Amino acid sequence: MSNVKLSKIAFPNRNLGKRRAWILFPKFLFGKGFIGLATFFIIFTSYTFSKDIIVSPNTNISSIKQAIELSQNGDRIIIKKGYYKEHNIIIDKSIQLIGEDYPELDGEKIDDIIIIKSNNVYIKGIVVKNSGSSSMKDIAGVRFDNVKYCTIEDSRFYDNFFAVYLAGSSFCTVKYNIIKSNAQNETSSGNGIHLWKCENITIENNEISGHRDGIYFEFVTDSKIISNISRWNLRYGLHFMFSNGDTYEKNYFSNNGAGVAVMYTKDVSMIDNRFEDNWGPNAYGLLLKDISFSTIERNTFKKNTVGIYMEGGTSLNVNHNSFIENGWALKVLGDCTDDSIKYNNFIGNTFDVSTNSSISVNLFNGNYWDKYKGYDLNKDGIGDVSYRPVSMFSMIVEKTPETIFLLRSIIVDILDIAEKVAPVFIPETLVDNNPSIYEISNREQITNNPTGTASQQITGNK
Amino acid sequence: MLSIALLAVLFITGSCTTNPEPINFGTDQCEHCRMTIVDNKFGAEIITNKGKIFKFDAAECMVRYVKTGRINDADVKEYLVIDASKPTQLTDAKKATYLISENFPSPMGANLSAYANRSDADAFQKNHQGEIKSWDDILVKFKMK
Repeated sequence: MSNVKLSKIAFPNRNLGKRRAWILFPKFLFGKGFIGLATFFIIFTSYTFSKDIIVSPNTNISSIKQAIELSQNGDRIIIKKGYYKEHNIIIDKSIQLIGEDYPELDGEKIDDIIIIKSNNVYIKGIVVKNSGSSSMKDIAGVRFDNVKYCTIEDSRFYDNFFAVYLAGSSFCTVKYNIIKSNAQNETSSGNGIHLWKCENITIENNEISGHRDGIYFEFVTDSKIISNISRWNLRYGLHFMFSNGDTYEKNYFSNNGAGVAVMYTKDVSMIDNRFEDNWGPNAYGLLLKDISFSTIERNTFKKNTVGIYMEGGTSLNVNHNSFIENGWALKVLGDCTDDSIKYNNFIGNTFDVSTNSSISVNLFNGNYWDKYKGYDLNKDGIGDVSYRPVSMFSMIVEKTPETIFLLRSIIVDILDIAEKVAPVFIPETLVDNNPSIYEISNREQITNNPTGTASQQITGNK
Repeated sequence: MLSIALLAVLFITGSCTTNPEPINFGTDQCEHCRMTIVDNKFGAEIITNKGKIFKFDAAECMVRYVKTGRINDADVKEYLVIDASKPTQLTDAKKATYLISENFPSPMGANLSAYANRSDADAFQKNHQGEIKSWDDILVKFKMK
């Protein structure tokens, strides 16, 4: 068959004799025919050399390790539905690993389950469960070990120490996976998707729960975290450190032990995310520490102890967000400078803004404050009286947290009146000169509350 | 009589206890970076002369905290670090041996782990490579000296 093809390409002109054709060979090689020859070789290599290896229980090839040994670069390993007790599966060839009807890979709590050591590896449709755990080593369900152009997609991870672990890798993708664990305490559990020293990674449409940190970024640059759901994790839904130039958008973080932490980073875009139901003494919707030149836009912070806690935040744009029913919507510490907080909604929060400093060098402008009691005589939608969102009581609570038990008591009302007559506590410069009379319409994300699987989440976002 | 008893109780409970306080992993918050402290191979603690205790999730956080000037070196009675070879156990930071190794990363990015005994540090260095340092080296590295 292939010989027939060769002759067709090599001797396009049937009138030519064999000898004449050989004379023409150089012209053929560099001329029109070259494309034909190249096409032929591409077809030849992909159809003749790459093959499918089928792994199935109770057959000749019943283990994945065996299949990998038999495989060559470019091969596909098809794993039939079944139960495979294997660990330390090392993928050192550029192959595809494709599960049919979610075959189960059980690591029996011993060690790493899959370790990718080659570029261009593609994994789809498998279940990875019960990796080992250790206090000294980060053991993972699937480990990307210094590789490029690898993808894991549409897979399930149950009860692994670390589920997906990327170290020193670039241009890899982790998408449409469901990652679950039932970690009991933070010291004996690992992270759902863990990245360390990576670049250009995409984490998309995954659903992570029950790990220590849902998604963990340390020294990761130019990467994207899009449309993931991270909830019921013990510590952070997303943990983000020393990672410049990244974007995370359209994610849903809820019920995590301490919310989301973004630290020691510059140039991060946080857009269209939801931070919900993070309650507790050290829980924050979003904890920002030493962040600069970053954007926080169109996010929703709902029912958190603290919506955003900001320490050492410089040149941040906090615009068009909604803060709803939080204990504190915004805690801006005195070391935050040049931040702009504009066009946000503050609705039903116990405290809108609190600070520990009497000087504010941040700009508050055009926000909607439901506690605002001013009027709008010229009906331009902007209140005629400036609004100071820091209440005196919040300053007292900031200094002496125990006083919170006086909340909603008559003493606080009296103190507030006293403060209005003779202001002492309230920072003079922390003021919104153009408070909006109407709620600002950046609320479309709030009504759409995703539950269910990663795949449902995707349709929910469309 | 009762008031005297009460006073006595106040004295006993109110007097400054300056013993190290164990870190509650998963609950305590790092004084510097505000993170919940979870990794029991790492951690640090400062006890001030007044008996106040500050906890940290990593030795580097403790050093950075002192560097910010929120606490003065002169006010510190004791610097403690967690011995990486004996998780959760605190040891004198000034006498400890340190290892900086990329293969043994610490929570806050300095790849710094501490050991009470030099021999433990050597054993970890064998497994993870890296450089052995002293407390003074660490202060120099973080530009405290």
